[in-house]
Amino acid sequence: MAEHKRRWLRLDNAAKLYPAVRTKNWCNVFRISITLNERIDPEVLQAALNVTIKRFPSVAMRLCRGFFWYYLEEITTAPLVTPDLPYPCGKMTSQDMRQCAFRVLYYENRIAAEFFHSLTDGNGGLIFLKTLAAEYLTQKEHVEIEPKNGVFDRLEAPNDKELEDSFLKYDGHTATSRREETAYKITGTREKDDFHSVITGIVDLSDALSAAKKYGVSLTAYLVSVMIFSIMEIQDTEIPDKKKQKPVKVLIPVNLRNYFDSASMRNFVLYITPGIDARTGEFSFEEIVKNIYYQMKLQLTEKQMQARITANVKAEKNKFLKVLPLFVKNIGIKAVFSMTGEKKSCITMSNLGAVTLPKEMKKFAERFDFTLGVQATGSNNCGILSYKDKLYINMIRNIKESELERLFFTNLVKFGIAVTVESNQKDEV
Amino acid sequence: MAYCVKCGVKLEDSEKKCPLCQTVVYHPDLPPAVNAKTPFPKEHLAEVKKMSMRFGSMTATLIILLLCVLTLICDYSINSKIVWSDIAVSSVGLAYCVIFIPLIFPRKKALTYLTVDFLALLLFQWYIEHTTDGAWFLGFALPATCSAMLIIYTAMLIKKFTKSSGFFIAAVIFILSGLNCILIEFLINKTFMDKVKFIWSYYPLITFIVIGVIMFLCDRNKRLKEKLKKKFFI
Repeated sequence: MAEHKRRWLRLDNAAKLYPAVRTKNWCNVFRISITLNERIDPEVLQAALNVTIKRFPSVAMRLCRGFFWYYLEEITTAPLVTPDLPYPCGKMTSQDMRQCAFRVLYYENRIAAEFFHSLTDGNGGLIFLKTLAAEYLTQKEHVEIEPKNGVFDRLEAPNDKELEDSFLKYDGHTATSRREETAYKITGTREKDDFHSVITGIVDLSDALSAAKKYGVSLTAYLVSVMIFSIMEIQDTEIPDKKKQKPVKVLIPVNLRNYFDSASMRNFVLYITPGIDARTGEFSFEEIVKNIYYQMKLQLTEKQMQARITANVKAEKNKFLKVLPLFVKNIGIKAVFSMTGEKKSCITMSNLGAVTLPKEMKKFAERFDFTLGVQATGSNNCGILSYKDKLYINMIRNIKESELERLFFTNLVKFGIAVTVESNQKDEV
Repeated sequence: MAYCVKCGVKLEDSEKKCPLCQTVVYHPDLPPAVNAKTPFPKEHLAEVKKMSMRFGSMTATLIILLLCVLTLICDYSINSKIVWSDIAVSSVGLAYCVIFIPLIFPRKKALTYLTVDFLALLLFQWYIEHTTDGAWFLGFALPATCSAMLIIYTAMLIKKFTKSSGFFIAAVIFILSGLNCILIEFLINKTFMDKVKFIWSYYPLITFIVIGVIMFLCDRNKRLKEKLKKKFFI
């Protein structure tokens, strides 16, 4: 019998960065999880994963090294589902990624999928997890789930459009400058053993929406403003001299599928970094909300996004850079990333939006969570999504101090939004 | 469900203290939740907290050092001079370089470890020659060890800088090893015999070259070519 020819893919424009900048202790991983109303059966989950990976050839991949570029190669067997760990987004070693660049974990009623960012973005990850959960419920509960609301038909053949690099498709002729001012960074005492603390704030969606509506802004703009307000409080305490302060900026990933037609399951995100220059004076919360709202309005346009895509693709298409061996490229990318990269924002706040499910699945799914891994040099990150009537704000950090989380959640409480918190904090010995 | 008296946030039953300000949870009307479900498993913490490789290696180093000192003391106290313990200690030193240095300095590359091992081996050979009053180090051990190391370095450099397939690297190793057999026989004859005469080295040379050529042909295999295409796309 002829051996199955393994599919392989070049990394998309955004994905090229992540393998180059990873270190021994850090790589860009994110996690999406679903909590069901019953305990997870690992055997059924494994069987569901075996079926699901065939529908997602761009996700069921391992990371390989070429002479000039990294590439993704299809895996023929699904990775083993494993029990969850005490903290999310743990390191994925090079050896792990050579086997498979994502993992599926289970704990009590929860199924979690953690992806190396070169495979897909939050949108692709969510579709994968929802489809995996649908297959799990089909096998476990024998329910027929209609393939809609981001749940794919597992028996359908993958579409070529799902595998495309949409960045190349929407590459324009005018590039915008990527130059930005360095932002303030929160620092603290690093946790031992690479432990990541997660504090989840659970908020009534209606409360959060009405708070945002009060200012006439989107929920993301509102939450980003609360975050900036909180970080500014930290900076004021740490650096009382306004002249010595730095801008407080938040990196917001933008799903480009909302601006350009794309069915790609691969990365198709860019980011914007709205912020407040703390050196210019005192800001009330109202001022911050307005400022952030208009900055987001200005930056979030199709033309702006296309100009930024063009700038990114331009570097990738540079003939001189193309022929450089990978190890030389890696050195260059690492150097640029350490000089710019994460220095342009204090924190990433990624809002996956409202998660919807086919009605047959809704009664089984109690909750979703979205957690970003920590930054390479920064200490905090924040993943947000809403499901049913709740908003889940997952704040992760690799430092001991929880000052940012404390200020962020207590500010929400001050602004009239009741917050319930839970965490993975270690019990004191 | 309790509230944090400082932060004003509600706390899930699993929280024994507020994760935001570390204030211990107190609710006058509710007993403390004992078996509340935690959002992440705690039982794996012990598994994650492994003893660091570096710490383990340092401890092993101290133990080995202690054993070496004891060996030297034993030898000296019995014979009133060092008779055999130096050989034992130098052998342990060589084994230590090979096994423990990569564990203590895990960030270094394989090439560095190999160089350290190579130097340790040469030093060990020289010491043995020196203590046994031999005359074989410069004439035989040094060139033979250097040629073996050159083969390994060549393979590593090809792997590191050319991304050649395993078949290609194996082919190079086989062919160079075949040629090395000629050198080894030459060195043996020159150091330990009266005249240089090649007797046995032709056989491994021919065998290794045949295997090397087979490896090269395998390298030209279509499936492997596809693999190379993936490795070298621009």
